[in-house]
Amino acid sequence: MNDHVDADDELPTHLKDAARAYNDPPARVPREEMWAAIEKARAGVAGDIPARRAPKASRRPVWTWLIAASALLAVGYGLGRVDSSTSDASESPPVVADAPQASRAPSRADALVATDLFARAEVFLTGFGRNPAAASADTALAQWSRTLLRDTRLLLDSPAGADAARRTLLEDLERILVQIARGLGARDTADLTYTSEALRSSTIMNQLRTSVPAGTAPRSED
Amino acid sequence: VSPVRPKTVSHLTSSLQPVSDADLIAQALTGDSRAERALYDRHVDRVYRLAYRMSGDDTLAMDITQDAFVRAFNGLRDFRGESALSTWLCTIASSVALNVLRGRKRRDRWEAPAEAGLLVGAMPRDSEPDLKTRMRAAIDALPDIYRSVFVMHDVEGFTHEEIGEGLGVPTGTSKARLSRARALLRDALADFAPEAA
Repeated sequence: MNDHVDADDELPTHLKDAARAYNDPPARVPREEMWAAIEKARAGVAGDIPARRAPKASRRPVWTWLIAASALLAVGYGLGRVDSSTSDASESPPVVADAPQASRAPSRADALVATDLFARAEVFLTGFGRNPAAASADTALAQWSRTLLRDTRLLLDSPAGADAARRTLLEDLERILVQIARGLGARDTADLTYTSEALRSSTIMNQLRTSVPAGTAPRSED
Repeated sequence: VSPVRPKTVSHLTSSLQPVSDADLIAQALTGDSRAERALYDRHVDRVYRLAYRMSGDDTLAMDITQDAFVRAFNGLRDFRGESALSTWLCTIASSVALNVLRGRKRRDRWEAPAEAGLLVGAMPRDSEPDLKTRMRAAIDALPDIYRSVFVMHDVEGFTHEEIGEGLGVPTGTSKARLSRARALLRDALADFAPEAA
């Protein structure tokens, strides 16, 4: 399986042998234990909102939920209007009509709001990745990262986060935004450089791009 | 032309011919948990091995493997078959592993610069006679971006194409990182060179 393009700089045999002993896995793979955990985790996903988020949600005062709900509806309504104006009138009803169902299952409005967030995150991360060191002095960028982080967490805690694939992407996005937001608030830029390397190594940019349909323009940041 | 219906798992398992991943995937997409289990059984060893190599910890390796399979099954519909399923699974596992290890490193304030490998390796040979122990410390001290490529290529035998796909970087970047990782290790363990020995 190994290709041999690097034969020139290969390690000497004694080092290669020593490297092969690195973190040598045990002979027995704990198949059954892991399968049981996988089944349990998947059953949790099927049961809508995973429990991990519950404590955070319960700490949040009621007014934040009201703001979140109104923001979600406003954005959903706006996007819905744009969407319905470009589609056949005989298609699905306006997005705002789906709002009452939002507490039970992800709706089309949720998908549109998530797409908007992913589009904004892609623009932000692309800009950040170009020059992470310069980003540390940019207060607007710091504000932008916090806004994106807030919106990501709101979506995670909303019915939009119940969709398993979307939730995974939102959680990955949350992780990277936390690192960036922390790095932008620190004096040392080493963390930002490291986060930028991590961003390049991860598949999140590809995932974001594939989640945003071509032609989707992110709404401007407030 | 009527679409080809996936064979059922019971039919497949009763057949003497090996069942393809594609058949099992098609069956799993219909909600057949036995097909999922068959896919799991087929690929779990490789995914777990990679997870263990990258984490060096049984519990972490199990967490990474489980998370990778949960993500894979939840996103199975997105698997386009452009690469082998095992590659796709290892792609997910390496991504999960890097995220997990990054989080752990941050928590432990354990982020060592690239030069740390040199420092570890530069200890007098008498104080650390075991090459494997020194090698382990030197690999651990590599930055993640080099360590992951080195482990996947030189330890687990992945190709640069697979690594590039797994880590979301061009093949050339994978090669460059491997070269850098090897150079760091060679320097770190210079006193173990055959002539020094």
